[in-house]
Amino acid sequence: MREPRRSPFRIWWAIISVVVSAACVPAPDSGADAATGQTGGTPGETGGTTGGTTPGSGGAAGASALDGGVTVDGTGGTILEACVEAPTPRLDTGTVIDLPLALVAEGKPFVFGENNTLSTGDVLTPLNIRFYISEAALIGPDGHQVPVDIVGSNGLPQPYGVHFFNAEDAASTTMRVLAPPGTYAGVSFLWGLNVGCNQGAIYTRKMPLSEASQMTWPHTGYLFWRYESLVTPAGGGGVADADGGAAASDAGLAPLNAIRMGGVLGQPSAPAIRIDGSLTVPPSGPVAKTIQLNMDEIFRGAQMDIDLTGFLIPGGAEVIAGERLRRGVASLHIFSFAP
Amino acid sequence: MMGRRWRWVRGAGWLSAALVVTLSPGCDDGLAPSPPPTLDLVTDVVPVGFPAGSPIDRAPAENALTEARAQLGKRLFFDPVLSRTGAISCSTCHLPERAFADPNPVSTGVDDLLGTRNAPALVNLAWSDTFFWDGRAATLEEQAGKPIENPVEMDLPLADAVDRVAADGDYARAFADAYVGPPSADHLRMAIASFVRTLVSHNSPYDHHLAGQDDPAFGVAEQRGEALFLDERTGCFHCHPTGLLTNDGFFNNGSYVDGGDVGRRMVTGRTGDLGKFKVPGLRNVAVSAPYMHDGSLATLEDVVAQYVRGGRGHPTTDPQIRPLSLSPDEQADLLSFLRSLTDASFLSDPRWRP
Repeated sequence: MREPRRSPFRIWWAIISVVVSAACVPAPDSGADAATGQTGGTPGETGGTTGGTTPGSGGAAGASALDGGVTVDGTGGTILEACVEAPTPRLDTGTVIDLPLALVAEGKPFVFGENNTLSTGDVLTPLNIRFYISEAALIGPDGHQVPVDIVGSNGLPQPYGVHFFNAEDAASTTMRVLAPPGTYAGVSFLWGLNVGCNQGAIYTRKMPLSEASQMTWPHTGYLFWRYESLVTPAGGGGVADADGGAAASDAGLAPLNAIRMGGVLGQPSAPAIRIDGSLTVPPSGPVAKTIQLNMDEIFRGAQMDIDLTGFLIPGGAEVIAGERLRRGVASLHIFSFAP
Repeated sequence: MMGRRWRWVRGAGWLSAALVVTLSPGCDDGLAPSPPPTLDLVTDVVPVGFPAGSPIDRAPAENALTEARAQLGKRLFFDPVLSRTGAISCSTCHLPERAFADPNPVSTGVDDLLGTRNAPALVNLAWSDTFFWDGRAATLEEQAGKPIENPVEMDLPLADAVDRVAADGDYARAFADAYVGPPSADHLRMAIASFVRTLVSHNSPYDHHLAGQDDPAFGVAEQRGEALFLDERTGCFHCHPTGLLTNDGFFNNGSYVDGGDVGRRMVTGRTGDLGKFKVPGLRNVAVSAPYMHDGSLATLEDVVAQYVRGGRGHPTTDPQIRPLSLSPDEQADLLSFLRSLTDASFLSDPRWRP
C-alpha cells in the first residue's frame, strides 16, 4: 500500500523546519533573575529542565504510544525525544502539590471573559487564554533539580506529561505535581512543550495535544501560549500593533488584542521558567502554592524591542508579538509565587 | 394428435412439478419473504488526519457503540412518533442528503413553529466534545433528548416518548436487544446518540488528497484554495484546522451586527462569550446551506464575502476576524477548496436512509 503523500502544508512545514534549524538564532542568554528566579533564553542552560536533557521526559520504557522524533543537540549528537501519551510515573508515592495559576494585571486579578479596566483606562476582555507547561521540577536548596510528574487530581501523570491551561475550563487553572517530601527552594518548568511533543504526528493526538486544544499550528507545530482579547482603548484610540518594533513603556500595559507564542518545530524552544521561593512538602497533603502570571510582563515582552534575526515563521502581528515574548522571557518577571 | 397433446401436457406437468420443488422451500413455511439484510452502521475507521480513536473508541463507557444500539437509534431518528403531533422526526430537520442539515435558515417544528437557529450538519460528531451552537450539551447523549422536548421542535416530554415506543412490540424488543431492558428516557437518548455517532464522512476529494490518493476532483484550483485556507492571509485554519476542519471551539466571527442571539454567553454567563458560537466542521459544507448559527448566509459565496469584509461589525467580534485581501480568483480558489470537501458517498449512502 502506497505511503500517504504529504499534503502541501506538511511539505511547507518540513521545509520550514529544515530552514529554521539551519538559520535560527537562539534567543539571547541573560541568565537568572535573582529577584524572581526568572530565567529564559535558550533552554538547556538552566539546569537541565528542557526537553532535550531532562531525564525521564516522558520517555520511560514501557510507556505506550511513542510518536516522537529525533533531534540534534548542540554537540551534534542525536537525542530521541518522545511524546508519550501515558507516561510512566516517576514516583510510586508522593505528595500532590496544588499550584493554582492566577492571572494578574497591575496587581489585580485579570478576569477571563470579563472587562478588566487598566490604570490607563483601556478595557481588556480576554476571550481566549491557553498555554502549556511541561517538564516540571522542584529546585532543591542546593539548586539541584528534582523532576516531578505533572499529575491530575488522581495523582497519575497527565497525558503527555503536560499541563494545559485553558481559561474556559476552571479545572485547568490548577496545575498539580507529585513530589517527594522535602524542603525546596523553588520550581521550574518549560512554558510550552518539549521538543518531542512539538513534532511528530500531532494531528492524531488526544487532548490536550489534539486540534481541539486550539494550539495546533501548521507553521510551528504547537502554540505554547495563545491569548486573544477584546480591547476597548481609553479615549477610543486604536489597538497597539506589536509589529512596530518600538520598545514598550515600562510604565504599563499596552492594549494588545492577540499574542501567539509558538516554538520552533523540532527544536527545544519553549522558554525555561524558574520561580524561586520556599516550598515545604510534607509526607502527605494538602499542599498548595499559587503561581501568578503577570499579564503586565507578558504585554511588555510582546512589544519589546528585541532582535528577531532568524525568525522565519509566517504570521501576523500576533505571531511576531509571541516571538518577541519568547525571546525576551529572561528579562521579564512573568511567573512568580503569589505573596 | 392426441399423443402429441398428451406429450405437451405431460411436459408441462413435469415442468410445473420441477418449479414447485424448486420454489417450495421458500413458499411453504407460511412466513413473509425475508427482509433485505440490514446494512451495518458501526465502523472502527479512524480517517486520515482525524484525532485518535474510532467512533467505537470514543463512545462513552456507559453507552458502548454496538450495532444494535445504532440500528435502534436510526429507527428512532427517522420516526415522527417522537413528536407531539406525530409529524416531526429528527430527520425532518436533519436531512441525510444535506449532510443531515436543514436547507432552511431556521427549522420548522410542530404546529409550524419556527426555531431560532439553523439545524447544523451531523457529520463526524463522534470526534466532538460539545454540542449545539452554544455548547450547552457536553455529550451526544445529553444533546439527543433536547430537541424532542423543545416546545418549538418536537414538543414531547421524554416520558411520553418512552410510553409511545414501549407500546410498540418491535421497539420493545429492539430496546431489550440493545440495552437489556425496557425502553427508558436514558436509553432512548443513548440510542439516538449511538446512531449519530456512526455518521462518519471521510471520502471527499480532500480526504483522498489527505490520504495521498490521486483524485481528479482535487485539482490545481482546489490545491491553491487549500494553500490559502492554511495561510495566515486568511487564517481559516485558526478555527478550522486540517483534520476535522473544526477545533470545536467557540468564537464570534462577526456574523451579525448587534443584539440577537447571545450564543455561548447563555451557557457561561461571561461577558466575553457574547455572540460566540461553536465552530462547525466543514465537511460537506457545500451541501449544508444556509450558513452560520442563524442561517443568515445563503451561499458559500456569501460566507467568503463576509469573511473578506471582516465580519459585520458585532461589538464582540473576535480579533482574528479582520478584512482579507483576496482577489476574485483567490476567492474562487477558496470556494473550489470548500466544494472539494463534499463526500458524495456519504450523502447517498443507503445506511443513512430509513
